Amino acid sequence: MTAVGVALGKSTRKKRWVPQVLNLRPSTAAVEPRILSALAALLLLAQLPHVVHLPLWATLLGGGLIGLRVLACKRPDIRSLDWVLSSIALTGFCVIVALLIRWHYGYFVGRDPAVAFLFILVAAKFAELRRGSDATLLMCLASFLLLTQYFYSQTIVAAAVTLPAVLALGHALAVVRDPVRAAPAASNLTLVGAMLLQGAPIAILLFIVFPRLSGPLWSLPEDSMATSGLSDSMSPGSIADLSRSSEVAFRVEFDNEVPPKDLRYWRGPVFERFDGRSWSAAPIREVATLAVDANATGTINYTVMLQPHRQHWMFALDRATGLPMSSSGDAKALARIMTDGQLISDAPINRITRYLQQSIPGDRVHTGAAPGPLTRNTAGRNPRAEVLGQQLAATHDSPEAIAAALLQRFSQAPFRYTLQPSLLGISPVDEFLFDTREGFCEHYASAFAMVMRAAGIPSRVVTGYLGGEMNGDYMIVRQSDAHAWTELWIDGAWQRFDPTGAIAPSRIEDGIGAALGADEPLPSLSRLTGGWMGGMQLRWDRMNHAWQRMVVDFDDDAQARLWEKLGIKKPALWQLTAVVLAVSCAWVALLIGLPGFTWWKQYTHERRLPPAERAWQRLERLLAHHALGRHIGEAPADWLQRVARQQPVLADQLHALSQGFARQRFAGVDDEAALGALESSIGALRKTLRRTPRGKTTSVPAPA
Amino acid sequence: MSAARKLRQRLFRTRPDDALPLTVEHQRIYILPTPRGCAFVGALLLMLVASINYDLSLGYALCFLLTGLFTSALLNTYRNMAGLCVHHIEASSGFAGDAVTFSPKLGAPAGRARHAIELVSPGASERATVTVVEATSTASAALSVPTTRRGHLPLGRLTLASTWPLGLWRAWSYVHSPVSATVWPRPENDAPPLPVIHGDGDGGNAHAHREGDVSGLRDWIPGDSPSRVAWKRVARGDELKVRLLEANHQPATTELALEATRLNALEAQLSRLTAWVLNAEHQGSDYSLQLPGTSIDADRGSTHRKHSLDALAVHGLGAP
Amino acid sequence: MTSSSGTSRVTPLPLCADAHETPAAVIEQLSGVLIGKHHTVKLAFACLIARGHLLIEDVPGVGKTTLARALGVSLGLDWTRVQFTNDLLPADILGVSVFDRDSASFHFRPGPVFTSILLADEVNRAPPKAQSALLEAMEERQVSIDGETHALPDSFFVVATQNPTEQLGAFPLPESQLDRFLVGITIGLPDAATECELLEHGDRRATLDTLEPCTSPEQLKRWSEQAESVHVDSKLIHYIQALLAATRDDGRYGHGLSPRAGLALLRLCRTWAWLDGRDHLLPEDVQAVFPAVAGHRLTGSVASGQEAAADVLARVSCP
Repeated sequence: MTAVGVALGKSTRKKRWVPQVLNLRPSTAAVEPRILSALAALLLLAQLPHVVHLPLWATLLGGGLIGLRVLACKRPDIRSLDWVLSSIALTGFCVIVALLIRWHYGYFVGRDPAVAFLFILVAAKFAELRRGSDATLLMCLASFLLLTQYFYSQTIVAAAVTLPAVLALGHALAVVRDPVRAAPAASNLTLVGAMLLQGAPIAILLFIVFPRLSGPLWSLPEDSMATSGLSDSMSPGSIADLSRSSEVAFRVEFDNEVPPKDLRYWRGPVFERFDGRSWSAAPIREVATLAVDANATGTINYTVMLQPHRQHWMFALDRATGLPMSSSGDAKALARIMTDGQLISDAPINRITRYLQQSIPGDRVHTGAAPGPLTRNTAGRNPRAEVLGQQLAATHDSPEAIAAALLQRFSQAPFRYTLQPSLLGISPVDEFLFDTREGFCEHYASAFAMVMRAAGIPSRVVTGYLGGEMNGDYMIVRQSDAHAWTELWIDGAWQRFDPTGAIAPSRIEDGIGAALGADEPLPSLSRLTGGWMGGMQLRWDRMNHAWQRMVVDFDDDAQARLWEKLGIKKPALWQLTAVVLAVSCAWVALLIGLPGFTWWKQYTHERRLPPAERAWQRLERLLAHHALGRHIGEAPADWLQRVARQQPVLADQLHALSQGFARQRFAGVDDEAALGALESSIGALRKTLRRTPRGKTTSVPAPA
Repeated sequence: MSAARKLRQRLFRTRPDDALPLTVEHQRIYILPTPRGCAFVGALLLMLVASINYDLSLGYALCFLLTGLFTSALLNTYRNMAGLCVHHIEASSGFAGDAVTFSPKLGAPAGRARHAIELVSPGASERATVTVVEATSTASAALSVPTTRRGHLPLGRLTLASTWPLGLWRAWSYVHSPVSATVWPRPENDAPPLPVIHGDGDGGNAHAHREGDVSGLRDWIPGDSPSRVAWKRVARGDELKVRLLEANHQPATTELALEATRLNALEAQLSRLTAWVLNAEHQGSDYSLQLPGTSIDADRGSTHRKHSLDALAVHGLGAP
Repeated sequence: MTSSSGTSRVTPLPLCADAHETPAAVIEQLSGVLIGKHHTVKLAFACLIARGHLLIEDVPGVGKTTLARALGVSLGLDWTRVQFTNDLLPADILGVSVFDRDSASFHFRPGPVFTSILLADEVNRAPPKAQSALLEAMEERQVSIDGETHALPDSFFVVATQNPTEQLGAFPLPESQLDRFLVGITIGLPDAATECELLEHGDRRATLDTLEPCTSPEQLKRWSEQAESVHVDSKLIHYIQALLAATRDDGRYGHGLSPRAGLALLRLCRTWAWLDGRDHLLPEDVQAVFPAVAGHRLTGSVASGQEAAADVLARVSCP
C-alpha cells in the first residue's frame, strides 16, 4: 500500500490540476482489498443467474468491469486503469449502456431493460467504489439484483444458485464491518451459515403466513415477453418446430381415473380461417353457453397446472364440460368457452395457473351454432387439391365416406410422417399432396381440412397437445406433444378426424417418439421411455413439480387452501403480525438461552466435577452474588481473607471454609464427612450473609 | 432519591456506583440497528414490494431468508455482549499534561469467545478494541486519556459496544465504576538543585555520589565507569586508576517540604517538589516529604517515589 | 589467581549437638542475620533445598554477602566468594593445571568453584567467557579442564549477584544463562524500623562469626527428597501450565518461560509448601514463588520482571 501511496503522490505532482478539478483518480488505496474481494465475490454470484437471459454484450460488460476493478487493486502500476475507472468515465459508460439497452430491447422503461441496466450499474458502482459507505449501497443493490433473477426462473436451480450468493452477502457484511480484524472467509461462511439456519424458522413462518395479493400493485408497460408453446396461427412447420422442445406445457393431476392414451386430446386454439397456406382463428367468436351435465357418466375431474405461455387460451381434455375453476375456496371461473370449444381467459396466462377442469372424453363437439362461411372457404390457392376434393365428393355419397377415402389415401405410400419435410412453395397443400408427400401433423391436418372444404364439408383445424406421460401421480404434457387435428361438421356436430392417425397410428397410441424414425431431431426426453436416464429425468421432473406446487405456486390461493386445511378462518393482518412476532421472540429467546437453558448447561458441566469442586463453585457464586466475588488470578485463601476484611463478621466462618477447602481441593484426600461439614458451613454462611447488610459497593483494587 | 433519578441511573448509569467485577447482563444491554442495518431493512422492504408486485414466490423466500439473517444477527450481537465480565480497571499514573492509561480487564466466564468489543470512554482520545476474549483468560484494553491538571482523574462512564458479527446491529452497555487515575503535578522544568542534604554523607551537595569508602585503587580497564576513575590522581599526572569501593555506606537524605521551594503559589511549589522527587530518585538520594497533613519518611525506590508523587498529586484536593 | 578477584575460604564449623534440625530453625537463624527479610530468606533457603541456583539483583550494601555467608554457616557448608571483574578469566574460577617440576607432570589446582556455596559477586561485570564458564559448571555440576572432568561437591550452590543492568561496563547475562538460575530476588533496603534496629545493634557481620550450623549436608539432602514428595493436584498442574502459557502468548516477554522454567517452578512450589509444613501444594504457594522464578527470566531484570510476573498472575484465573 505504501508503494501505491508513493506512486499516487508522484502522479499528483505531475498533473496536479487533473485530479483536483475532475477527481478522476480512484484512490485504490482507500478501499481495503479484503472488502473489494468480498464484494466482488458477492456481485459475481448475484450476476451469475442473469447470464442466461441477458444479451452477451451486457454480461461481458458487467463481468468485465468487476474484473477491471479487481485488477486495478492488484496491479496499481497499470496507470490507464485509473482513467478507465474514474467517476466521469463510468458515468459516461452508464449513459452509453442505457442507450445500448434502449436499442437492444426497443424500449427502456420496463422490467427487462431495467434488470439489464441494474446488472451493469452494480458493476459500474463497484468499479467506482471509493468509500466504505459505498459498500452498503452496493450490498443492497446486489441483494436486489439477486431477487430480479426470479423474474425469469423460479426453478430449484434458481433457488440453489441464490444460496452461495446469500452466504457471500453475509461474508461481505462481516468483512465490511471490520476489514482488518474480520475472521477468515471459511469461518465467516460457517458463521453465516449457522446464522441462516438460526433464522430459517422465522423465514419459513413468514413465507407461510405473509399475506399474498392476487394482483400486482402496479404494472409497468407490458414487457415484450416471448410467448411459448402453441401460437395463434398455424402454418406448415410450426408444430414441427414446437415438437423439438421438451419444455413442460402443463401438468395434470387426475382426481380418479386417467383417460386412455388415444383420448388424451388437449384442446387448444381452434382455427377456421385459411388463406391457402396458414390457418388462424376466426376474427369474431362468440361465447358459448355450456349445457352443464356435471354428473354425466364418464366425467373426468382433474387439475391443470398450466405453465405461463402469455396467450389467452387454456387447455382442457376434449371435450370440456365445465369452465376452468380456480382451485381455491372461492370457486370462480378463470375463462369462458367459445362456440368453437376453446377456453379463453381474459388476461394472458403470465404466471403458473392452476385450475380445476371437467371433461367427458369424446370426439364429437355439440354446439348450437352452425358453421359459418369461413369453414367452407378454400382460399383458391391450391387448385389441384380442390379438384381432388370435388372428385372425392362426386365418387362418395356420405361425408364419412369422403373423409375415409382421403384418410385411406394418406395411409398408403409414399406419404411419410416426418419432422423434417421438404419446404413448400406458394401452393403448400398441392405440393404436399401431389409432390413432396411428406409432412408432420400440421401438413396432414391442413391438407385434410382444405380438401374436405373443397368436397363441400365444413371443416376446421384444432391445435393442442396429444398425449402426456404419467409421472407418479401426475401427468406431464410437454411441448413435444403438440399436435394438430381436424374437425368436420357432420350431422349437426363437429366430428374429430385425426389424419395423423392414418399415416402414423403409433403417434396416437405411443407418442411421438414411437411414430418418428430414429434420425428425426426429437428432444431426447420424448424418446426416453425407459432406461436410467429417462428415470432420472422423470424423477427430476417430479422434484420440480413438487417444488412448483409447494414453493413457487404458493400464492393467495394456496394460502387460502392452507387455512382451510387447518380449519381456521383467514386470519386478519394484525393476528398474523402478532403470531409472527410472538414466534420470533420465542425463538430468539430460546436461542439466546433462557435462564433454564444456561442453568442446564451449568448443571451438566458441574455434574462432571468432583463434589469438592461443586461445593467450591457454590461458595464462589454465593459470595459473588453478594458483590464479594473473586478477582481473576486471586488465590482462594487470599480471596477469603479479603472478604473477611470487608465483612469482619464472617471472618471465623471464612477462615474455617478456607482451611477446609484447601484440604479438600488440593490435598488429594477424599473425606466425605469433611465435605459434608463444608457444605453445611456454606449453608450457614448463606444465612449469615442474608442477615448482613450488603457492604458498600466500592471497587476493590485487584491483587497486585 | 427520586424515582426519575433512579430510572436515569438504571438506564444511563450517570453516577459511578458500579462495583467491579461486574457481569454485563440483559438489564444493561442496549441494542439498535446500525445505519447499515437500516439500509439493509430498506433494501428488504424494496425487495418485498417487488416480490408482491410480480408475485415472485422465491422473491418472498429470499426476502424472508434475509429477514431471518437480520434477526439472527440481532441474536448473535446480543449474545456477544451478554455475560461479558469487567474484572477490574487498572489505572496508570502520569504527570499532568501527559496521558494516563486505563486498562479494563475483560473476561468471558460463559465459555464463549467474545469478538470485537469496543471500549469508549468520554475522555479517551481514541477507542480501543478488544478482538477476542477467550473464556479462560482475560483480555485487557488500553484507553489513553489526556490530562491537564493534577489530582484524581475519574475514568467516567465506560461504554462497551460491539457490532459483531455482521455490523447490522450495535449492542452497547454502560459501566460506570469509580475508578480514577492519579495525575501527578507536572515537574518544573529546570528546577533548582535539591535542597541541602542531611545525613552522614560527606555533607556536600546533592550531586555527591552514593559511594562508600575507597578501599584501594586498581588499573583502569575499558568498560569501567568514568565516575569511578580517580580523577585527582589523573590530574597529578598518574595513569588512570579506578577506585575500589567498600560496598557499605549510609545514604544521604534530602528533606522536601513546601517551604523549601521558596515559591508562593501552591501549584508552582508542588511542581518544583515533583521535579525534586524525580531528581533525588535519579541521583539515588534518599528523601523525605513533608506536606501539611502528610508526612513521608526518607526512603527511595519506586514505591517510595510513587507514594511521594501521589501525595503531591492530591495535596489540597478533596477526596476523589 | 589474580589480585582483582578476592577469594577467601571459610572452614565449616563442627556441627553443634543441640541444633534444632528443622527447616524452620534454619529460617529463624537466617532471619536473625538478615533482619526484616523473612520472605527473601525463605526463598533463598527454598531455592537451596530445591537444588537450584540463586540470583540476587541489588545495589551493594544490602546484605547479599551476609546472606550467602549465613546460608553457608547455618547449613554447615563451606563457601567461597569470587568478585567478578571485567578481566576475569575462566581459569580464575575453575582452576588451572600447573606443571609440577618435582613430579614432572601437570597437576590440577582447583579454582574457587570447588566449594559448596559459591558467591559470585557482580556476575554481570565479567566478560561473557568467564560468565559461561561459571554457568556451565552450574548446569553440569562438574568442571572439564584439559580433558579431565572434575566433579563438584554434591551440594553445589551458586549465589550470584548482579547490579542493576543499566550501569556502565556491564555484560548483561543472556536469557539462556538467566534460565539456569532457579530464583531471582532482590533484597531491598530495610524498612525504617529495621534500619534503626540495625544501626542500634551494629554490624551484623559480627554476629555471623557466632553463628553455628543448624543442620548438615546430609540432612539437607533428606529435606530435598521430602520436598519432592509433596502432593500436587492436577488443577494446580493446569494452573502452572496456564501461567507459563500466559507468559508466551502475547509476545510481550520474548518467548516467555521455557519448559525448564516450568519444572523449576514446580520444584520450588513443592519446596515452599513443604517449608510451610504441608504435604500438598496450594495455589497460594504458586503465587508466592512465581515472581521469583519468572521475574529474571521474563525481562532480564529481577525488578521489572517481578512486575511482569505480577501482571501475569493477575491475568490467569486461579483454581
